[in-house]
Amino acid sequence: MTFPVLLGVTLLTFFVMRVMPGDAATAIVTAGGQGVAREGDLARVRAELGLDKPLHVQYGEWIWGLARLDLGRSWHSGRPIVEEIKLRFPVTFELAVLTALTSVLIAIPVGVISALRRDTLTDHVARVVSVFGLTLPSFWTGTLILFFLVTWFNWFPPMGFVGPFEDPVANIQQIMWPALAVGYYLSAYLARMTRATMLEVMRQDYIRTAWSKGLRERVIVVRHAMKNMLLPVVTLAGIQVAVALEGSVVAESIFMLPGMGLALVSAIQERDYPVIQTFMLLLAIVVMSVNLLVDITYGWLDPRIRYN
Amino acid sequence: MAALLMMATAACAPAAAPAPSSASAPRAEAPSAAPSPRPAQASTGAPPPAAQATRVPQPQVAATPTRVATPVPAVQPGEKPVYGGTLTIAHRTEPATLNPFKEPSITTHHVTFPIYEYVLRRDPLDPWNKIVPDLAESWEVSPDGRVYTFRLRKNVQWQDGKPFSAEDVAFFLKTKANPPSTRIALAAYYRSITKVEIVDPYTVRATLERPDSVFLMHVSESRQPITPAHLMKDANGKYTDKVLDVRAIGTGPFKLKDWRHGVSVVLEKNPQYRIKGLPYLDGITYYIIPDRSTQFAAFRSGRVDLTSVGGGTYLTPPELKIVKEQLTGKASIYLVKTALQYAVRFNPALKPFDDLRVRRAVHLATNRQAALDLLADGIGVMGGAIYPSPWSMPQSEVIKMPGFRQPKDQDVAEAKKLMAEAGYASGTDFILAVRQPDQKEGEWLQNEMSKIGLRAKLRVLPLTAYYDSSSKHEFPAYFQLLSMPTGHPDDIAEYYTSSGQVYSQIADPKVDALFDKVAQTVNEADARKLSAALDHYLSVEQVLGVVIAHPDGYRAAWNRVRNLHLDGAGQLDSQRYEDTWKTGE
Amino acid sequence: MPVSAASTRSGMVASLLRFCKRKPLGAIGGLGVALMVVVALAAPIIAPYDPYAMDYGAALTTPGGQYLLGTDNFGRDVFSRIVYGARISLYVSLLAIALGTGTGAVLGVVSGYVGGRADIIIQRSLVDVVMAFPTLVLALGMVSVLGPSVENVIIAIATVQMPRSARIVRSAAISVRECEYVTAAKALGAGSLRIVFLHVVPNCIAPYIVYATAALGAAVIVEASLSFLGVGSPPPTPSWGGMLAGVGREYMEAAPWMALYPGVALSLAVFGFNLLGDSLRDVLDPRLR
Repeated sequence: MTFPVLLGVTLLTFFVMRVMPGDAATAIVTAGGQGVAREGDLARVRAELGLDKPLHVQYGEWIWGLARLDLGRSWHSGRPIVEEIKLRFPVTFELAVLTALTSVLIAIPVGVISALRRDTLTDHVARVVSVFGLTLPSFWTGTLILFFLVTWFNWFPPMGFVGPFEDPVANIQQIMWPALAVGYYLSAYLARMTRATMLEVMRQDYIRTAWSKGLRERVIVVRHAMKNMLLPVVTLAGIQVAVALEGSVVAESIFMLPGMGLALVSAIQERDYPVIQTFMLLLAIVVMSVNLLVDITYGWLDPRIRYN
Repeated sequence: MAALLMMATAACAPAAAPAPSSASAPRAEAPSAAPSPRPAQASTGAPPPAAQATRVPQPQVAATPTRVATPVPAVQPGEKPVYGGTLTIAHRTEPATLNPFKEPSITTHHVTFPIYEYVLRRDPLDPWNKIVPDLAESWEVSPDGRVYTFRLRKNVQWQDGKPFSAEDVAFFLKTKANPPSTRIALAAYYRSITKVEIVDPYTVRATLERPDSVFLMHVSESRQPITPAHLMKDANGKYTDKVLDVRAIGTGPFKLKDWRHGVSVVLEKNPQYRIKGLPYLDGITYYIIPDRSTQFAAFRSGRVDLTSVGGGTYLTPPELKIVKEQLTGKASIYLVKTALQYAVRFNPALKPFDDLRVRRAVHLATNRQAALDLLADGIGVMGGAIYPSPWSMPQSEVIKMPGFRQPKDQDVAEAKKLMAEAGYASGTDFILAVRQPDQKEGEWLQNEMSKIGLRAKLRVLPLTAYYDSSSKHEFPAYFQLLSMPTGHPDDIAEYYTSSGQVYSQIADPKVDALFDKVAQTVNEADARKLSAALDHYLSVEQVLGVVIAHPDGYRAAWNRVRNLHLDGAGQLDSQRYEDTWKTGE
Repeated sequence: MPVSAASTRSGMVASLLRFCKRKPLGAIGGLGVALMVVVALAAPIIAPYDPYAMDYGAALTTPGGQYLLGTDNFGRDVFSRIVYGARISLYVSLLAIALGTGTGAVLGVVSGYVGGRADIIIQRSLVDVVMAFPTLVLALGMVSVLGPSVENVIIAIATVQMPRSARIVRSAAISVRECEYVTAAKALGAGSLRIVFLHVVPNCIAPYIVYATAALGAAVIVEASLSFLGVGSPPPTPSWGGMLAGVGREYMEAAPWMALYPGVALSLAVFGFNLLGDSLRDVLDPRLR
């Protein structure tokens, strides 16, 4: 079922690349515009990169390479793409997971409070604060965060990204801020979902009855409601991981994280086709896998919620 | 040539012992105390030896005074260097490779400068005038200007323990003269070499086809470090670049410790460096910081000692203001003579720039002073096709010429007249291609050109698309950022001569002839005069492009970093930090 | 139970007033959006200066006096640029969302109502493939292919929005398909097209509107992010996102008004879209009545 989609993804990235104006061979031969592209050199480099073969042959070679798990080399650095992925994917993944976590930690309290105090001032304030996150592009939030950290607290995250297993303290100091910048943006949607789901749960008759009975019962009701609501919301948070991936493109640049987002942006600018194709494919696979997981989980949980 | 010969012999003269001496002269083994730092001013003690060997720190000031930099805290006489510490430097882009033999991009070179050395080196403080010895102790040029002999230092080691010898330099010259692959940095510099001989284990002789007034400047250009021959040959003796892509083995004061992709390039001290007692620092770390505001924030917080170098990474006017006003006494700014040019290049095969009158109109109307003020905060110089250097038109004359002079009323009126004569009294539209990073400058130029009726539509292209497009001569005009590594017209020959492929569509025999003559004139003074005439022809008469400004840049460093010979250095001038130290942490 | 057919005219006005009373936040949002539209339309009247005119001598003037919100580094009036920026932002977001969600909605109706083979083809080839890419990455790729211009930014954003609206409309269409009255209508011989327009479409309008208003906000943000990546609307277009991401950031400390005011304008616009959409959802979603 997902295979044709994957195929479509590969086709899309591959052929879209080739339509792009600009040629990696020119960049290599002119060494980034610092030299002159001579006709002979250009032809030689294009042959080296395989750009002179017909499109479908290039496509076929790529797919065949993928099947053998040979991901090729970057045209810009000459290094095997597998190495790049091993280095960069964990960074982006960690960022995406922490971003999703942050957005959940912000969204759920806000959504629950908003639902419990529906249409009151608290609700309105909470919703405004929550929606505010949506109105700021994450690059702006990120820039502001760094700016205030430096000018108000004279503090800056430690230089030189380290993984969470190397030095957890430094890692958290580096990654919490981009997670916050993007997480705040994502939390708005999740908060809205939380509120809506909470309202739906709260609407049920026996819940309403329990609620009217008094404070002690209310606590139990809230706990019960949250238990029921948590699952669908958390599965939705799973989707956030996929969405968080796109936030990483911007956050990695501002917060100096050596992740896939940044590498992809550079690759697009350099017309480094192997990297663009492979990274986009990988990102698409991750997104699809997460979506699939969420779809399955949600479907499995659905009858239970309705029953409750 | 005679002047160079004199400088060469002077360099061999033994340096007076305690007085300031050139970094390249071998130091006597000082048993106990660390060698005294070369003070910023030639202060006490014996008079400095030959002019060429002394570090005179005044920045090379072109005739047009630029904004005066805040005085950089000079090393005080009696101040003792401190051993230890790591210098942290911001770096904009992850280098694609660490191989300086194959990669001309300064992204690679800036992180490898401390690792490698050159045959000859441009004096970082007087790069346009002085060449100093580096791995070669001395050199000679034959009277006909075709034979160059380099005498190399003995007892120098590569960082992997193997000895350095003429073999390495000979391999370097031979390979660049006959490049076995397309990916060799600036091989064009050596195209006129016909023969390379190893005269003895420490002497190399190169013979050129014709005299080349720029040969020594090319050899000493900062992107020509000597790399170990034994690591550039594979098992069959064929050239390979694979080893040096990831291993950096040089003769310089620092060695490569670690390259963390996308994060940092870490160098550590080379204890076997040929100058005993140096370097003072334990290491240098370059942090990759892609975003400009983030770079400044990192610097400001103290996590980074020195901001980066390279077009697009210099301090912006607001950042300069902050350093000058809020960090007075704690950090300083350093002027970098970038030898960059903002220019617009015309495609003389397409309208409206097929008409010389239109091109001249742009030249006359462009407000270069405003360009400097708005695009470079007044930092930089005005000039023509050749960066103001000993090879260009004299600056004092340039600022009085039409097109450059202030006020502009007369020139703008003249420009409008020319436009009308060419048939464009009501103006015309055209496409101006701009590289993505230069959008702001392109915007300004668009506004400027609209004043004489040339209405530009900006086409923003990412770098690869831009170079592709320009080599296909697609659009009538291209906004361009160029740099001139040596200040010699050879740097821009490819853009103007008919054999060059980049932008020129006119085969103008006069241009070709002038370029050739400059290259082959042996007498330097004569060559410079010819070059000035060439500059005039290109900038004012033929007008294949209009150079808008030569912006310079600023870097900032915390004052705890001592003895940084940066102020007034060129963008492409290598900084090795061999005699730099840090106080406190 | 899906709701069918629209209310009468007087009913609509009454509904509007009721809406304002019940959902003050939504009303505020709606007002904000209306204000933005007015500003955009009346830009030449409101703006005191030409947004493109550079006055070198007046560069970086602080707000107040002659220049209400100050000038930028080229001496252009920030207030005028913000006013004209409303045009750009509206133009980009409205067109992109109309194009994207419109196409998506059509696909969704076809996919949901017709079902079967068409559904599978549309879903697998168009919707899923496009949705597999993170939105900004895809938009970036598209603008890189097409070249940075306002029109191409619109196309890129539209493409990215298309599958999401297709999905939403599709589920609405599916729920209609199963309804008794639709089966009845079919049995009575009503043509598919008639059923689609009379029953399916009205039922999809509500979720579509809700999604579209949120998407409008997202479009403005994506345009700003694309400017940050260097592929947004090319200069000298006075787009809010471009001002925020470009020289505004550079001069954040020295001339904060260059980024602050475009940022506020941007935030207000996105706020307006979202609050409106939020409240519309509360009102239009029958399950939450």
